[in-house]
Amino acid sequence: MDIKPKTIRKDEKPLSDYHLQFISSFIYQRSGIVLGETKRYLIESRLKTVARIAGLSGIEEVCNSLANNTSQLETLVLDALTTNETSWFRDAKPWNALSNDVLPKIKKNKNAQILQIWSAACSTGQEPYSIAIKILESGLFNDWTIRIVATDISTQVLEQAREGIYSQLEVSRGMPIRSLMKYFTQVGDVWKIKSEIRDRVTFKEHLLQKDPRYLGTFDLVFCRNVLIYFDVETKRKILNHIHSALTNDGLLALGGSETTYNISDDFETVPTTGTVFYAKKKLQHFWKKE
Amino acid sequence: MKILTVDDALTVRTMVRNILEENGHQVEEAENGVVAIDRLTDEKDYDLILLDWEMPEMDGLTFLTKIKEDNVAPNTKVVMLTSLNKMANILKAMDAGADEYIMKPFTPEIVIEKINAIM
Repeated sequence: MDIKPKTIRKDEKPLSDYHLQFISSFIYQRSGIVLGETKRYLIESRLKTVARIAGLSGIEEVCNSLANNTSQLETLVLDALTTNETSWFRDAKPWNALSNDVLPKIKKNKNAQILQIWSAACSTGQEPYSIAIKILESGLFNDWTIRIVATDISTQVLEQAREGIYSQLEVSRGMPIRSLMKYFTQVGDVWKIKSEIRDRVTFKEHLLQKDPRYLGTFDLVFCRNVLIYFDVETKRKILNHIHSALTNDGLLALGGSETTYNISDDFETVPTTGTVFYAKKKLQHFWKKE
Repeated sequence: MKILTVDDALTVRTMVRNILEENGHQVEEAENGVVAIDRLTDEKDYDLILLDWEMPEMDGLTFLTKIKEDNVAPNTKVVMLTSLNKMANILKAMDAGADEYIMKPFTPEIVIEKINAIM
């Protein structure tokens, strides 16, 4: 079988003005995202990757093939040029730690049978719904009161999150097929999360720089892959706010590349399988017990 | 991992091969179920099969049903990779013994994430 091998061609043509305009127009029509001259390097480098994966000779052939309307190639190009980092159960380790370490320990040690979780910067809802699924599947909290509060600054994403309706591509990012079958209903070309999950999450508009105590106090706060977008002063302010919203035994989950070190002295790490969470420092919380 | 990609579309096989090879996997190809059966008869040590559904000669579901009934390559995981995206299709494939299901069109991240999740 003759297959075009993946090769890195040093003689690949650079992105011409014509193809820059073509791609910018294509992306704008499909996503509403404006890409222009300032993104030339990014477009060129990512289109070269697409060409390599698709077995095409270069950017020119990608553009020509797009003009012939191939949906698989369209998906590759859109995915490469529009940042979409929202997925279900994003990064395996914290989710495994939640199931294997964190939830069982809360169940064992917490007296009041209420579990309160805040998903900060929840975007279109994948994170809080993933949390709701994990709690349901743990089977540990059937007789507990569960309160999952999910916040974002954008009313637009909150609207989609509340509806719980996702495209095929959105549900494909991180959602195991058996969970898709179990927790979603297919409605035409889209997938709607079932009410048994949707009704467990309350969505609210909230700016992370604001005092969050009106939202309540929380056993767990998920603020993952959010701090990276802020300067140190803002990170410190957000961490202080989160600290004030955590119960004494509360835990904070950050993204894999984020930390409280050199930003806030109010937290200490709680090691779990494969990852770390952060607890309030200097308190005799139950994470210190064996 | 050693992976067999079964799809009648050369463009899809090429994309899948390039995605998998970029992630360090060894890839072989078959263009339909009949050819895939031949491959499995010759070599039983595939870790994973990425399987299209609609193909000439022998479709993916028939292939899957046959290898499960005949207990061919029982340790090989099977991931459907198909444009048949209705719940009824998914149920049918999972009942027949598929381990995961990827709906076309796909992205490289989705393919890798789904494979990593089951291996």
